[in-house]
Amino acid sequence: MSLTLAAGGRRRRNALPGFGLTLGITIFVLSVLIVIPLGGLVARAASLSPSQILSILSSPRVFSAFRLSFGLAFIAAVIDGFVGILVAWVLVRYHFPGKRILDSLVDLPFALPTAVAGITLTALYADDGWFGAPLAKLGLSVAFTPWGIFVALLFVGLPYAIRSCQPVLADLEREAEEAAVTLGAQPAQIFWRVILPQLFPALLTGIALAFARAAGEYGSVIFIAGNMPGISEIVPLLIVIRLEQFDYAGAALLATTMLVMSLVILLLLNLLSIWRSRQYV
Amino acid sequence: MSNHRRPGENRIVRFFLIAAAVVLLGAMLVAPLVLLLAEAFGKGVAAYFDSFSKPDTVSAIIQTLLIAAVVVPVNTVFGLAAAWCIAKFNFPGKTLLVSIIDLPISVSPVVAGLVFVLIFGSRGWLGPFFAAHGIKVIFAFPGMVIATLFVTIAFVARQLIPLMQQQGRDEEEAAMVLGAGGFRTFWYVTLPNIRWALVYGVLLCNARAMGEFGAVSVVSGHIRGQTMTMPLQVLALYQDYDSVGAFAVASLLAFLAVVTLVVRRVLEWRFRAELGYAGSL
Amino acid sequence: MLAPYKPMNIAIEGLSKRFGKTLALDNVTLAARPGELLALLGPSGSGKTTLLRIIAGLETGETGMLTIGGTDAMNLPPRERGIGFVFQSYALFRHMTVFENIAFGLRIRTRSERPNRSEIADRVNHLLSLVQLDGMGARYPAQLSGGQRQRVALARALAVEPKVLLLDEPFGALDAKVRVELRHWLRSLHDRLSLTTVFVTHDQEEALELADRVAILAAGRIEQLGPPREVYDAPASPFVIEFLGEVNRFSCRVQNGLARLALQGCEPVAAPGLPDALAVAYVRPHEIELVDAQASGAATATVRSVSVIGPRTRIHLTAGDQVIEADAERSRAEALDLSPGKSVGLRFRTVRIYPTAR
Repeated sequence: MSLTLAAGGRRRRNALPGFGLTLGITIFVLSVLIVIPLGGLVARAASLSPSQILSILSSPRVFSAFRLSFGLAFIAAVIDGFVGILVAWVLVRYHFPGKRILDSLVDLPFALPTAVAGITLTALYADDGWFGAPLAKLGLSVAFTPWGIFVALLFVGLPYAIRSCQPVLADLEREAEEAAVTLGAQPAQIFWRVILPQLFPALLTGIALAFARAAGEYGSVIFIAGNMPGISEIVPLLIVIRLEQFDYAGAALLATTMLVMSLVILLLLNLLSIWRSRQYV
Repeated sequence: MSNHRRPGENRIVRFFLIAAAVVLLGAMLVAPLVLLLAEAFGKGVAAYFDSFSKPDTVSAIIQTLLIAAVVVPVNTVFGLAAAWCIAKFNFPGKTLLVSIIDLPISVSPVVAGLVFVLIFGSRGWLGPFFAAHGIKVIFAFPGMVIATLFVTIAFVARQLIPLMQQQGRDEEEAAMVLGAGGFRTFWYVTLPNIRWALVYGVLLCNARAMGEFGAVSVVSGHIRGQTMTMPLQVLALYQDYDSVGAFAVASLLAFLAVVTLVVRRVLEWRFRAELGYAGSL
Repeated sequence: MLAPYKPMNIAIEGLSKRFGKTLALDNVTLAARPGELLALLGPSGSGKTTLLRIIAGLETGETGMLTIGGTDAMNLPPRERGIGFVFQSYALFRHMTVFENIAFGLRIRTRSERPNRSEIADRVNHLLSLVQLDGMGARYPAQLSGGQRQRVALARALAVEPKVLLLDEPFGALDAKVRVELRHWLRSLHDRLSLTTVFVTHDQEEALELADRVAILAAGRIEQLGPPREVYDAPASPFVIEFLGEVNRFSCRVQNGLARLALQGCEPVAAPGLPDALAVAYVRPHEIELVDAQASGAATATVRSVSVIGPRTRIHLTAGDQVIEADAERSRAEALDLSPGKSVGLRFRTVRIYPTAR
């Protein structure tokens, strides 16, 4: 199917070979593995009547799961953004022993399997854990409460925020800051008026990526959350539970809402990258 | 990389910022790794190695290796094919294709598992058909492979596309003019130029394939000794209160993640130019 | 030893090429004679590089004919066309040494056609000395200067003994001094090899100095094709005269074969064969003679500023709204005692007149 499209016209032969073959493979794999299955998901959700959809989405358990998943993911992503600026700044601007190791470690949450993150964070923040014990003394239980979910989401989103800010900070023109100094700006003014505006689109990109990752996170959260219905139950877990009850349509509906959210974020990211490319031509 | 002192830089501010970043990353990233090792070896080295002699754990490790053995080659071929047509040619719909490749990264892994249950599950579209022919997809090896393929589809392609775009097609055209055919051009000219990015992409794909939790969890059915992978085994052992066993398996996965990061660092340091700007995430 | 090349001609007829909606080449007809050095000259977007890439087989023309050495090459893949191509970016294989780069085209041949190891080494070493890079074979492209890379690219293209040599902006990425040196070197190399060579450039000086003939392209069409002297002395169109060096442009009116320039005091100029209508007249700065303001038949103008550029003097003048640039020998300028505000007379040695708007 793709091969005629590939040639882009009947007689035009490109000097580099392999276009038709590689595009064919790409389109075939993407269709079979991604587009058709996701289409099937949406179709399954669409088999529900509007009133069924409404009653599923408005049930207290589902509603609180959405509020928990999206709300915590959002807060965690924003905080990741602030930590991201700080860490990116330090890694780009300063020289200190151990910097390289720290820089490499930033990608750890990305490379570490979520189950591993889940089990270690749970042990760390349990009421008898290294961090959990002192916090429990202060009256704050982290593991097996929504706070635990928050900690896990903070962890998985962190590299996205840092890695989005880092290259932009590294590319900032030294001259712009020097110009600001010659014009009499204070360091804080330079940061707020010269650096932050240039960093902002990248920061938003990082936050959006961290949010997308956090909202869909499953592995690490189910270890640490306690998974109590209505209190610490996230949407992906709810999907699994519906599936275990063979409620395919209900699971598909919840999954479709998650998918729509992913698509919206993807769109947002594309718009952001268009904005960024316009800004720095 | 600019490590010059910038105008208006204050030594005290600098110290506090570095300290804050180090403490934050230490608490968020280093502490979990340290705790992981402490727990895994908490009851001695013997207990640690003992935990790998349990048949269920051995089976989980074998399952994981088998899944990676199928998924990594498939996604490598896909990644090369997709990168070739996307980076070296222009065609309508290219942006859409790239977005579809990126989609699985931002979709919740639970959704990734669900879509295949909807297709191949006992109440799915194709489930009865496969069941009638005696092929088990869901709660079996094929389903786990497909779900892992979905989740890791983008990893090789995403490493290669920016690098190959940046390298352009001049060298390939030069090879063609000098008499090389398509295969020789790819083998002698393209491949050497992208080899390190390819190595890293394959490694990353492998780490993710072995560490995937959510998607595999949904399609595996958690049948002990049969459809458990290492991340699933971590959860199972944890729920059995076998802390050393769980952390021992987790430590293997963490080791894999750290190796991936170290290799990446080394490649970046040795072959910065050849990795291009593709490095991150 | 390099085998003596048998120079081949290249013939193109009625060639067109479209990229999306833009017409990159519009019915181009052009022939390179055996052994000549032909320049494709034009501004960016004129289609010159597309034309070269079609000859090489890196792009495919839509309609038209292309023969190389009498063989229809329109549908041949690049490697069967017997061409050597030097890319603007040089496109050296960055992971191969200079030696490996030059040997590539030989090493990838099928076993029956491949020279043996020592023959390849001999050929590469010979080429290395031809391009004056003896002993540099073990280096990587990244360790070479721009001019050296350029010569490696050339040696690599010559290694496969092409019938024609194609160069895309061969000096484009070099700094001014190296550029001029390499230009002379390329010309002498071409003369030694007597290989049909086509090169693309946007630099008119380069084209005029180097080429046997120059094809000037604009908007996918060939405006003029001829020896450097001819295109400079007898430009076929306003585009050509404006593209080849600086020129003053005057509006004028043609009546009964005489053109009257919109300049006070200027004598009419013969414009044989032109219809009675508005027209444009072109005068190059060095074709203007500065005379006394009162001289008869001279147009009058006012000096605005005078710049000394080495041996020459550039005089910026105005006559009403018209800005005029003129060149003079320094001695002549000093004799006239030019200073801003002074009136002078202008006599035009050569005026070229073209009808306005086709």
